[in-house]
Amino acid sequence: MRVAMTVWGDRISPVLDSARTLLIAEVAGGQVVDRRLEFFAAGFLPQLMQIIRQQAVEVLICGAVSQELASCIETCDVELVPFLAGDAELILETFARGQSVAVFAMPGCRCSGKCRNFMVDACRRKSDLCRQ
Amino acid sequence: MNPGDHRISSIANEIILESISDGVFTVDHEWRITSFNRAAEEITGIPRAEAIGRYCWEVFRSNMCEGDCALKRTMKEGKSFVNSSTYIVNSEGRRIPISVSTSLLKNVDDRVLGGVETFRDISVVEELRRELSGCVQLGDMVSRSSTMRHIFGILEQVARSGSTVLIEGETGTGKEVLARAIHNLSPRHERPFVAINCGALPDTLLESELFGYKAGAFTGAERDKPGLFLAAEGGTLLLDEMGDTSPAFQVKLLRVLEEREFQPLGGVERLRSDVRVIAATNRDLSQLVGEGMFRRDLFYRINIIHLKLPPLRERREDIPLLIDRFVARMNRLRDRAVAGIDQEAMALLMEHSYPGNIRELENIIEHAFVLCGNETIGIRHLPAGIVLLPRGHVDRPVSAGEAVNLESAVSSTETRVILEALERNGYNRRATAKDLGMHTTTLFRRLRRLGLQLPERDGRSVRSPKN
Repeated sequence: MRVAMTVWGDRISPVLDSARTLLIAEVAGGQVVDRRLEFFAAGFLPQLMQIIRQQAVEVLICGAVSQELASCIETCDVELVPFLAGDAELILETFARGQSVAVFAMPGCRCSGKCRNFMVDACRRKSDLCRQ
Repeated sequence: MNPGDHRISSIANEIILESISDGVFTVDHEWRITSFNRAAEEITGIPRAEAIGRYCWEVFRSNMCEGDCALKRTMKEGKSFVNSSTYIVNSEGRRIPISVSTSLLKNVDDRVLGGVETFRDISVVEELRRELSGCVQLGDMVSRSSTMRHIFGILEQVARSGSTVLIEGETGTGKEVLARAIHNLSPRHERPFVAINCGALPDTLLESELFGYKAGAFTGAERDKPGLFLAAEGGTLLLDEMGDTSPAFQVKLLRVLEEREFQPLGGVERLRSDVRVIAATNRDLSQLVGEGMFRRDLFYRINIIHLKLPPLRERREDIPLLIDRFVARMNRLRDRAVAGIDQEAMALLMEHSYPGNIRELENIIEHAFVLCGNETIGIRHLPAGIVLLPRGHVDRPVSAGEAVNLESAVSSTETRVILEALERNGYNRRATAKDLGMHTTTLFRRLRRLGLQLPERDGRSVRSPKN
């Protein structure tokens, strides 16, 4: 499975909308087997979507993301795992092992079911991932 | 100063910080949040208890965090920055435009303890600015429908292609919004976007608007006037209601599109044009071609990329989303605090057929805003035309292949006429009957037969405007 994560140094980029570096990782057998970085102009959605499509990314892990951008990205058939914060490598390894990423949730993340619109879906998916 | 004064001062500071409407937070040297006031909680949607101790970028989530952090510059250079504009993403995933000021946080001994950042929600200002400039982003088109999501999915490729685009869709479906989004995503986004409604103007006026004219071209043309092709140079020109243009105009437009040159009225020189044309129509152009009402060669010339916007009745899943956006927008524009819409009113709006599409829905919400004060929007705040229509009533154009039931078509028209008359006469039944040229008992019989329910508001005390 190909997983992408917007990164800022060794951490998850705080806001996907203004991110500029994409870490693309190949996950197999519960571990990260390959990784590389792709760079794009901050805030330039077409370029980000082009990379996601070309690289056949299946899951995009990111920090905060606006509803508008989340809606657009989901049209690329990408599973979005948003509103995470922390050490990129640690989160990626945790995800690869199929373990809960809930501990990396950003402050204010409302997984209790009170969220609305895309947050409901995003959080539900994240909750599913958390339960794996 | 005695120790008691320090305590009072500290309490006073806290009261002030909690009472102001600007968000304020402080960080230590490791960028961890050490204080977070009430307004900061409101603007970010993050409770103080969750914010304290976290890295500021995990809480503040601004587009400046990664690249050009004002607080970082302040800490590095030791100077304050005032009113930098940026945006944050709040806990609901909404982009909140804010203005930010930063300064060093020092103790009484002038020792730097960290930094302080104050921020103000400027959504209202931005909304007004956008209203004035007519600027639209892709973000203005939010949808859950699969058709719309498909359009969103290919939009950036369409935008980058530079090809001519044909947008079809009923009135009020957002053709101009889509055209603006294509422009904003395209390499031409820093050049002008110009729109013209071709169906609203006679040929000669349309030509002079589009191509401009030279002084003396006709009576009253005292000096040169550049046309919209020139105004949109390097940018995008939206030709709306293309299906309503005359064959003569279609020939001229075809020539401009093929040769990329145009000639102002009264001029002898042909001017080069670098404009991307987007055509829009609420009619079925291929059908018009078949009927000989639209030139086939022009149709093929503009139909390079074809986007069809679905009517709102075919994307009902978007209705709650759109209502939320309209309510939030009107709250900001009118400084109101309407919480939303109650379930009954929502159910009614979900059933409506929206012949006027998104524009009609926006008008309905605006109507409700006038009547609802700061209450939640309920059925009593909706226009009578929505409330009185029997459940499941469909008021839409009948398509060519659809079986037409004359009786239901007559009932539909009769319903509309009666509702309009009732609204016109302030729901005074007697005045309405008189207006419609029938006896009051006949009106009541018709209301019963059509299944129309009258509002609680009784218009009997209201005198007819004609009386």
